[in-house]
Amino acid sequence: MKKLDDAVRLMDEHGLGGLIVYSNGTVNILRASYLQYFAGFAPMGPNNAAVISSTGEVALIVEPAWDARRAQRLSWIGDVRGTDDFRNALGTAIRSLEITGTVGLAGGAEMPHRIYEALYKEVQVRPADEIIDAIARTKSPEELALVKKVASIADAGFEAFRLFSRVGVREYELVAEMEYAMRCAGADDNFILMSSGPHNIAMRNPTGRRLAAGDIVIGEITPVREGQFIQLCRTVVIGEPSPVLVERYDLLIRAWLAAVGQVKANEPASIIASTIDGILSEAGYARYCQPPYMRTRGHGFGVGSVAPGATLDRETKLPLLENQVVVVHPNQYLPETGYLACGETYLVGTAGAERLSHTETRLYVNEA
Amino acid sequence: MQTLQPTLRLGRDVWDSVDMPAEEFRARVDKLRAEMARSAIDALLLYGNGLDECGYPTYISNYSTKLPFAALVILPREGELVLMFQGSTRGQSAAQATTWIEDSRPCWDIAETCVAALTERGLLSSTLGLAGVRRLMPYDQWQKLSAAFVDGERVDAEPLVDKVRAVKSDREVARVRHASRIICGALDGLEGTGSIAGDESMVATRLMHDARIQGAEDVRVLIARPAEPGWAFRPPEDSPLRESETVIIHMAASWERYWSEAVRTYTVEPGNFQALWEKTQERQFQTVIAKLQPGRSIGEFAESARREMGTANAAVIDEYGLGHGIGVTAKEWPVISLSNVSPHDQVVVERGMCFSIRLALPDPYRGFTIRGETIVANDLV
Repeated sequence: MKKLDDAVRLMDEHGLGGLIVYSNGTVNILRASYLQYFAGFAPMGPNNAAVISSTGEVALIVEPAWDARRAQRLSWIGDVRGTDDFRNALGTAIRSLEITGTVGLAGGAEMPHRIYEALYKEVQVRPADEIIDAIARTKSPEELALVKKVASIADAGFEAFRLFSRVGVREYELVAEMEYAMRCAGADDNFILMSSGPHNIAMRNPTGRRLAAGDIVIGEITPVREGQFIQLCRTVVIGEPSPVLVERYDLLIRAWLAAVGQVKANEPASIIASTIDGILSEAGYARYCQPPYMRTRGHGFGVGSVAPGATLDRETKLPLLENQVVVVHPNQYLPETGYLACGETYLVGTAGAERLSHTETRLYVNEA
Repeated sequence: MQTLQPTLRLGRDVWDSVDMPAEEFRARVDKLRAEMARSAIDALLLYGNGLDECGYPTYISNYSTKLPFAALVILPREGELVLMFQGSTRGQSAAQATTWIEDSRPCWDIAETCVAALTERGLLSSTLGLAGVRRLMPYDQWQKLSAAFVDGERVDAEPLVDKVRAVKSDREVARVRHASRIICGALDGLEGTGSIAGDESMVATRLMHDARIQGAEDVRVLIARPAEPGWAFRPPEDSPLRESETVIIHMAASWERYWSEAVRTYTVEPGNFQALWEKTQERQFQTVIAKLQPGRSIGEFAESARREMGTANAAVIDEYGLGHGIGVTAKEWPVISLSNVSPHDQVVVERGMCFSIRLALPDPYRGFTIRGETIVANDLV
């Protein structure tokens, strides 16, 4: 197993006697799912970990105990240990794999104090997210195929977004239809934020509000499958858009296209933000190129790594690398129009950005 | 029952301040303050994170985490409450629309914000009751928070808060009932002609859609297929269903913060599911849940459940347990164990307690049938 070989090699390079890849069972769109990536299994319970020795022995601890059978079936790790007492099982695994010295911890940001305290009694611990991140940085052909599959699911989600953005539909009904369309197309989870109204402030969860003529409906359409996310940011206006809305959306399109034109392997990732901010600043919106008027100009997606980062801004240090999955979104609050959504996900290539979804990025107009 | 957490709680998110007014939350504050006075606690720190473990702050604030982020409420014995939640300032107006607490603070560092708020209120060196903090807070956050506690005392307040949370008001019960209606409607829909096509995932997709359209904010589905070797409940997969096969569905959903759960056993028929719930089973089920009456103990219920299920059927659900409390989280105190000696056996049922329970009853055709319901005291929701 290449992942295991790579982990053992990197543990050796980092002078680690073992590695623990931990998950509290949550999934965060802006954070890698290290355990899911490493074990090939989406953990369910509150505490789960792969424990790896410097000799390449590995045990997968799964809570609750009854979820061990699923883990055994789905993970490549043969030694699966179901438990309802994670702290005890973790200590037992460390001792049975004869792990000594300093142990690396990936996913430590999710680890509660009481688990860490128990772990610290067994071994010295040091953060080691970078080990899994480094392994995951190069996507396998299977991962790339998954990325493309999820991109087509996002298109299905957008079609539902467009179809159901009509007068009388409640916000939560719109989200329900998007979720349904994406699950039917193969998503196993979804991240959908939206807002509606004549002047939106930010994206949020849906309320019971009914869509009305003149509404601007914005959405982050983000299906997930096996931990891989793809995002489309779209705006639909119900009824004839005002000239100022058309003009400002064109500005965002211009900024987005210019940024995408800069996306290429080995370019600094900060170029996305500096390009978008540059165009918006030239148009007189420099003071809006910061929170609370926007969050970020894009971010990476991936199961084991979200490089080049969860926030792409002008200060982002990392370069873009081949086969990274990056969303470029000049989502922006503008005083004349409110918050607008505009963005696409790309695969970074040596010659440029490969667009992953097929639906067009533009201001969509639905009949009132 | 433990389910796979989604990335985002993406359903309807509203606070109906007419049906669930601020007075309701003030009454909860009063109850907790009375308990705090008895235990000489100056302030409670009510912490939670993620989509499964945010019950403490949600109970008192109505604010609910939608992402794997954290929230914390400082409830002082005197003075106003403070709500802090991980999120950007852009999200404050949406968050404020769902809580009655006026002092709400979006932040990224909960520990730092908590220390600042405690310092402002002069509470840093007082006796603090911790609920969820030690058990759930990530270690780096806990280290930062505990480093600020130089004087004063920290006590475990989870038992105190759990007991207050366990007894629901009429408004809370109404929400649990509403969530139950959403679930039952969706599960009943599986029995309609032509309702089932495709694989396990499509069954879950249909259930989720039905629940979302009814306003569910979070929906979870597990499936079990007893024909599989070593079967267990698990998230649905892209696996086709076989005619005449037995399929067990666990569904949980929340509505305006309150959860309900149900389990149904079906036989797969062409185009739909058949529940095949026998009168004898209904009688047995009612016999057992009748024990969840105010004044009786959890142990009495467990004993009755063991008797009606029999040893062999009890073994089927042993690893999942008989049930637990349910409310602003899908799993709450008390836990109802199948074992003969459980720490919660002595808990006496009170009016307004809500339980998610599951039984494996004898079945002449399938060997056993698992049925789960959400119960208010002895009243089937």
